[in-house]
Amino acid sequence: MQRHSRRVGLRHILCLALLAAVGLATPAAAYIGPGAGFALATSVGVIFFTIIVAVLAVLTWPFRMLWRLIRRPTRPKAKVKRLIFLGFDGQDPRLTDRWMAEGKLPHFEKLAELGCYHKLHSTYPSISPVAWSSFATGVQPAKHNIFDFLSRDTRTYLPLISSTTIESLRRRGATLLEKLRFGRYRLPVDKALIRSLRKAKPYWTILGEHYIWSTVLRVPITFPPDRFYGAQLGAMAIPDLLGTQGTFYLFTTRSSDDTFKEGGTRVPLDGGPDRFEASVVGPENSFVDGSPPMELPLVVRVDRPAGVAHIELDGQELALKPGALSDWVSLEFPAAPTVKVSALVRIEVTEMDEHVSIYMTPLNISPENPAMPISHPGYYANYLAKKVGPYSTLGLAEDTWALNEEVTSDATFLEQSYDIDRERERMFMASLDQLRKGSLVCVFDGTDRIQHMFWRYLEEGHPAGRGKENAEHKNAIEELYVHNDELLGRTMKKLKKGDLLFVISDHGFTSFRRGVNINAWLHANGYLKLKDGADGSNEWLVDVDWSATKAYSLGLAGMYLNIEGREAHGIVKSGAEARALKDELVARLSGVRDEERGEIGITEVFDTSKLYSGPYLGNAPDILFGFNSGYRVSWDCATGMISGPVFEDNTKAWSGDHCVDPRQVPGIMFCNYPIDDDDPALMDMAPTALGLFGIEPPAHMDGKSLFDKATEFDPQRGVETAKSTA
Amino acid sequence: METINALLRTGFDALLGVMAPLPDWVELAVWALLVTLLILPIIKWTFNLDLAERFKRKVYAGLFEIRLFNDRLGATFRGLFDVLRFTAGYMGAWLLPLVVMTIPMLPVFAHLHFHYGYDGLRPGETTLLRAELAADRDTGKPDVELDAPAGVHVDTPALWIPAQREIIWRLTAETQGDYELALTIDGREYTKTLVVSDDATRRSPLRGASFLDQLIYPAEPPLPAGSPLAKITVDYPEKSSFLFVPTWCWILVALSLPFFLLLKGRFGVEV
Repeated sequence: MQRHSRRVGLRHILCLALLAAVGLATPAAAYIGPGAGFALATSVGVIFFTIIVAVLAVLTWPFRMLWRLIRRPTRPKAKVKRLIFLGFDGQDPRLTDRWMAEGKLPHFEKLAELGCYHKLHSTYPSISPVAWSSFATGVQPAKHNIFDFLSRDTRTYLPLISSTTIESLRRRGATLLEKLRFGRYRLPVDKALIRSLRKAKPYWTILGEHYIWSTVLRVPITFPPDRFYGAQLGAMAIPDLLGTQGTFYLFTTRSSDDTFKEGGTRVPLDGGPDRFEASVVGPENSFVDGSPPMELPLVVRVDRPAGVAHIELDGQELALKPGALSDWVSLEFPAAPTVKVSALVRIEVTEMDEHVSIYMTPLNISPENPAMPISHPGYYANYLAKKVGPYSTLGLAEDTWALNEEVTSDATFLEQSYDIDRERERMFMASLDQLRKGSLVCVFDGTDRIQHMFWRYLEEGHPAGRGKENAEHKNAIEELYVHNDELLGRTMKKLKKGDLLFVISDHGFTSFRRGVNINAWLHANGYLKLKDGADGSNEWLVDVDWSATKAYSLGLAGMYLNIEGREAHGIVKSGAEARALKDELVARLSGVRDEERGEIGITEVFDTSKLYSGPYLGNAPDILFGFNSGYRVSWDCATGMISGPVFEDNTKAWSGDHCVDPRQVPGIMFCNYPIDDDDPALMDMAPTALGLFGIEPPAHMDGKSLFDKATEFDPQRGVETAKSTA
Repeated sequence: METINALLRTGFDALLGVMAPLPDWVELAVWALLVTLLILPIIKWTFNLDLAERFKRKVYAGLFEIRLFNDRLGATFRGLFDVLRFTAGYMGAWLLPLVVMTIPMLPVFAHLHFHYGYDGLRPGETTLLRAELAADRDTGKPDVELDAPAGVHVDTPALWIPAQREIIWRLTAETQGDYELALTIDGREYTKTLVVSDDATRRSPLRGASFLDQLIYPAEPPLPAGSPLAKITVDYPEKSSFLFVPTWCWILVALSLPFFLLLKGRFGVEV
């Protein structure tokens, strides 16, 4: 006690001494140094500005409300206060059932008890861009125009991203701009026009038309973002700064002429034995003639005795031990004086013995200074970064390619995936706290990515898991489901009166043991011909003789007929000939057997003209594959190669998939209220959301509301759900 | 302290001597640069950048929140509250660097204030000379004499104010120059400088005996220990001020900000 009071006394004396020092410094007290003066000036400025903004917001509030009242088309009577969609991309009902039965998912179990649990029909095909687009719009693919990750350019047969086009347009006054030069710099004469190819209004836009707020976090196919009454952070299809869907870097002293097949670039590290140099090649610089790429020098100093590599990059120095993934590192590529392009990366030293190798994630667009529109409103991405810290922005942020190419380890991939999920949870929880009325949807991608990469440990005898039976992360998928359950628990705890919670996944998961090269099958069966002398080993169908080819496959979901007048070198006449060819292919491919394994590879093949109806049917693949569980389009086929066997083992880390017959991979749907429908589909979520806010779903929607119009909701259910987690 | 002050006086006089031909604002610009170079390392070592960065981010988040949820009054006020709260936190993060930088800044600013903070006496102008008795001396009227050199005229006899234990004379400056006034009390002589000049030169309004006086008024050596006098002051007219801060201080702030912004990167300082 005595010591405590002495300590308190000493502290008081010190405080008084400090105050006296400040107070007695008559002129010096007024002048607190440039730094502090700067801080004081900016702080006063911020306070002044904020008060002005707040006062303006308060003063104009009645007028804005009045304006809204006048413009509002109807006054819908909402049945719920807050509608929350918690999305776990790819959570599988069989695995959920298994681990619920084992008592490992108590919150999922509790939610099912309180409300309901159903399998959720996915879309045809059961892949995320298609499924989440149907979730958002309540329509089938032929109405929202997203059929796969990739579509094709009918003029060149080359692949295109299915959801977004980025075109370069000349600015107004480009001729004049071309003449303006400042030394080596010029003003960019082109501007990028980014357009979404997803058609049909998402439900949040319709809610917004009735001034019902929605927060939409990382729902796939939201790049460029929708403009509506609410806030949205984009997801799948957001590129990296290079404009690709994710190009990682491997700086290495290992010499190799090989290029990475999937999304990576190898950069030689020059120098040695303890100091190495390389360049981080960034995006093109449109401020300089010829648009050369911007570069940042990278210096690596290796301290082998201490087991640390010191990495100097963009004025920062990182000390990294091998195998440790850095935090986010902010990079700024200098484009012109005062113009910088910002990126976020994470870095890992993957080896530091005889050879030195350094992995760097793709150049994520910085959310605090985004080079492309990744959110609505534009400052929302920055707001989230300020609120929850830096976060990944790349559409497919978890670096599956680096693990597939064995550049990173299982541990690194898991760390990266969980970190991304944690970033997202912080956003989700902050948004949930902020939401008073309206809807909130957040999709967690880790479930999809980790299942893709770790299925090999879940299934005995998987070709990619051979010899790795005792791998450290063999329970990764089970741990992931437990992690999801804990996240669900934290979400349930935040529910309040009038809240309705849906937990959904867009599809389930299954094994990817065997790849099927449809193009090889088409070639073997005379539907696809190669150019003279070509062996079909080149990517993107460049070996194909289009003048003699009737059908080809590109992407993961289906195949196209080489239709005359549609494709540049089409030979199949539309109409009867095309229909006959399609029927023939459907008949021959349905039930195709993998003789080597004695299994059926393709259970059914679907004619999309019978499966879909809608204005964009013409853009759909002509035929969709319904692979049997364990089978999928092979890696070679997906990238337009023809050579090799029709069936082959998949030995890549990417060992689980869902691009199979959609009936084999339904998603999950939990709700804290029982629904009035026993057979829900992902497409039903949009009309259900509208119905819950008292809005009649538009007639073009294919989905149906999961609640009867007469259903009365007990507002206390939200509170009960929260209490149930105690 | 006495030694430090003596060294500082010499240093400042030398520097100001070199800069004497320059206009005042150029002198202040040089001081601004020197001050910036002095405080940047202090900021680097004492400023909690992570903490300040966290507060700054929250301030921005609050601002964005006001903009994003501007149709919800509750959210607007919450955002406003957050901005004020975290701005206060940000300013609080400056407390330690501020306190630490005050230590070297105090003598620097005291010396600068003696050069730039007072108007000089001009020939013909009057001022008051005050001598305050030490607390331990008896309260009776002391036997005191003032000897002014040629060029300074003593207008009045010593006025004794018992309640303030103070003796006051009125002086008139007759010609320009640096003078030394001599006070004899209890048979011992004590001096006090008096500057009659327009130039930016060191003017000492107070010569004291206490530690505090040495700290704040280091322009003259302190009165010897055991002196019957607590302090001797000359009333120099102070130059203009704004918001209770001398104008030269504001000019110094304004001139040092560009130096700070220019040099902070070299010192690895982010604010």
